[in-house]
Amino acid sequence: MAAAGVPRGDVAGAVRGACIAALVLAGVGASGAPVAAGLPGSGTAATTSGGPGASPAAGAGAAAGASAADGTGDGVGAAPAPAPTFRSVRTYRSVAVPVRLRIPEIGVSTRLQHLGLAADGSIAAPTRWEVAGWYEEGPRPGQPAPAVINGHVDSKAGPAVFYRLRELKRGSRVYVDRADGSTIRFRVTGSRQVAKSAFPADLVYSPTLRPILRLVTCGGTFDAASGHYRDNVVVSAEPG
Amino acid sequence: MRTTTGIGTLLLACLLTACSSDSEPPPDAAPSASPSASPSAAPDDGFAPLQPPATPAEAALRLEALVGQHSILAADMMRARIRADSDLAQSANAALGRNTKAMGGLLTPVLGQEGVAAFEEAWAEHIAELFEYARGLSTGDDALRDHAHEELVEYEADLAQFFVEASKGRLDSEAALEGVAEHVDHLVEGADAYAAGDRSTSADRYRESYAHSFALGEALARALLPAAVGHQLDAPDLRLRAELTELLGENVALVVGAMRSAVTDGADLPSLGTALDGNTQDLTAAMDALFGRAAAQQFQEHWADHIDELLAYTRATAEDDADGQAAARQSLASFEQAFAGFLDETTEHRLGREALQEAFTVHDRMLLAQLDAYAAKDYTQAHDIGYRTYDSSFTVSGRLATAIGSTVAKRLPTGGSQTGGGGTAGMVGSR
Repeated sequence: MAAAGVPRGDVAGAVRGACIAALVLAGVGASGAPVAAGLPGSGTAATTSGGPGASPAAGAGAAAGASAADGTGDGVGAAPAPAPTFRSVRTYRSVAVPVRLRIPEIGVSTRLQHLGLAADGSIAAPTRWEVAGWYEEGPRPGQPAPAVINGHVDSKAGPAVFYRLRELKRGSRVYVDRADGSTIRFRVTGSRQVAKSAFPADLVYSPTLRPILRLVTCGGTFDAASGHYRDNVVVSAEPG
Repeated sequence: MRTTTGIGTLLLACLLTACSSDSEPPPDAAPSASPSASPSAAPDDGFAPLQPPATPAEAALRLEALVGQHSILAADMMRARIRADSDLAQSANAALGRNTKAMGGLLTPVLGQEGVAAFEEAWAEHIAELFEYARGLSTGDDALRDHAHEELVEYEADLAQFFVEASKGRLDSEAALEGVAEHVDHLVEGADAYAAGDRSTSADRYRESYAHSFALGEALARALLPAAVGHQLDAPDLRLRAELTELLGENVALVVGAMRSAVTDGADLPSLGTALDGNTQDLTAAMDALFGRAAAQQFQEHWADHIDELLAYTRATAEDDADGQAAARQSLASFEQAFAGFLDETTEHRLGREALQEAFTVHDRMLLAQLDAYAAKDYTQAHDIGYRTYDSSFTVSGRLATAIGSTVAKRLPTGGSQTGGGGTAGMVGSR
């Protein structure tokens, strides 16, 4: 195979054409095998024969009703063979609600409070310092979407459940136990500290079809006047 | 979140205007054996055109979809060759040539004509070797298969190096080689399983290959297209569009595959059906996450009805049952109306019920038309329409992503959370 790192100009087209021409020719007969059957049609494909070029698998695993593959019909005086059938699935695996968050690396094991929205439109804070909360109006962890779990970094007196959240590194493991007894494992993919005044809500909450977990707490400096931290720490994780 | 006015009109217009699905010129070094390689000569059948990408970011999304489509066409070509179905293999190959040319068209602004020529050569080489590998499997020629595999391994290194050089430092060698090698592995392993009669594993690899190829396409887009594109791809609307494109494109590919299998011997139908069910469940799970369980269940009923009616039409075609075909068409029309109503309601009338219904009608017409062509053994026409049906999923996903994103955005939280009491402010603030 020629090296592919440099342009080849006219040579490229010639070689490409030759490759494809060879490919097409090989399909016709370079194998020496008879050009097969297996062609579409009203059941006549059932007579697809083997031969050196035919797949050893041809006809295997036929769908229900694919009895035409027995190769016995000649299409004369016989009723058309029933065509294969398929019925589409009408169920899917629903993801149960989360009940516990475990992050052994930073000593977290907490049941999960269900959270709604605060008056200002942000996710409400958990009502207890030592308990994290899942935003129940959003996706459940493991659904193809960003699920959010919040926890306090500290109380008014000392560390709270997510005090060590920022210690998590890429690859750190996070476990979420669910109401149906299942557990989903996540791996941390990144962490960032953002000012609440410029909180990137679209990037944190907007829909994606990837099963992302966002762990959110406070960080940065404390504004005594408002009684709140100025930043948020957002840790992202994905199954793995 | 971006919004689009007149979305329904745009969707309809995009689905009903001109004929050519590619903005790029037809391949010069053919798949010349197949007219389907010449999109400029697209038939006047009223089916969807795919407009040229309007922005570099859209070009990136298109590249992702094209690499994903490549994996499907390559797997189909290998399967056809394993079955020694040369007409079908040639048509699939022609579609691969068209796909390669479309990728080259997207890369021309950054690679230049010579760079694109080099890309197309390397890409065509790996297609040729994949074909040779399948030929080895088909004929039981182990030496041919092994030689093709050696060539593929060599190709992996060559192509990875090409991408690294073209990226001007944005793609590292290890990642490039891993990406290309995994792509080849999926196709080879899928072909091995197919030849061995293990259709289940083959179907698994089919889905894995498609998903990986989409990711590979994204990596290439980030590495080869202007650097700003990478940041744009992280925007929520584009991210959701890419994800929807992947799922909807896969649906088209699997439905087309299942219909083609069902109209012939049906040997691939169980495995394709399993893959199709997986795609349906993924889409349903997405609807659950976006709109809740009740909406997801409604969605799945509609979606399953749609697939079943397409296969009912296929079955009627196989059995030469005109009444059955007509009944299936009627059921499809009912679906189109009901599903348009459901989606329009779900997205709070951001799409337009009538425009949606028209779009679904055209989509179904395309699916039936490719099946009719396939049943008539006009593989060139079948692949051409199948190719454009896949293309149309790109347009539809864009409109859906915008509408869904806007609908969901309304109820998202705003701002950060107040999750601290300040008791360790001195420690927290100094970290």
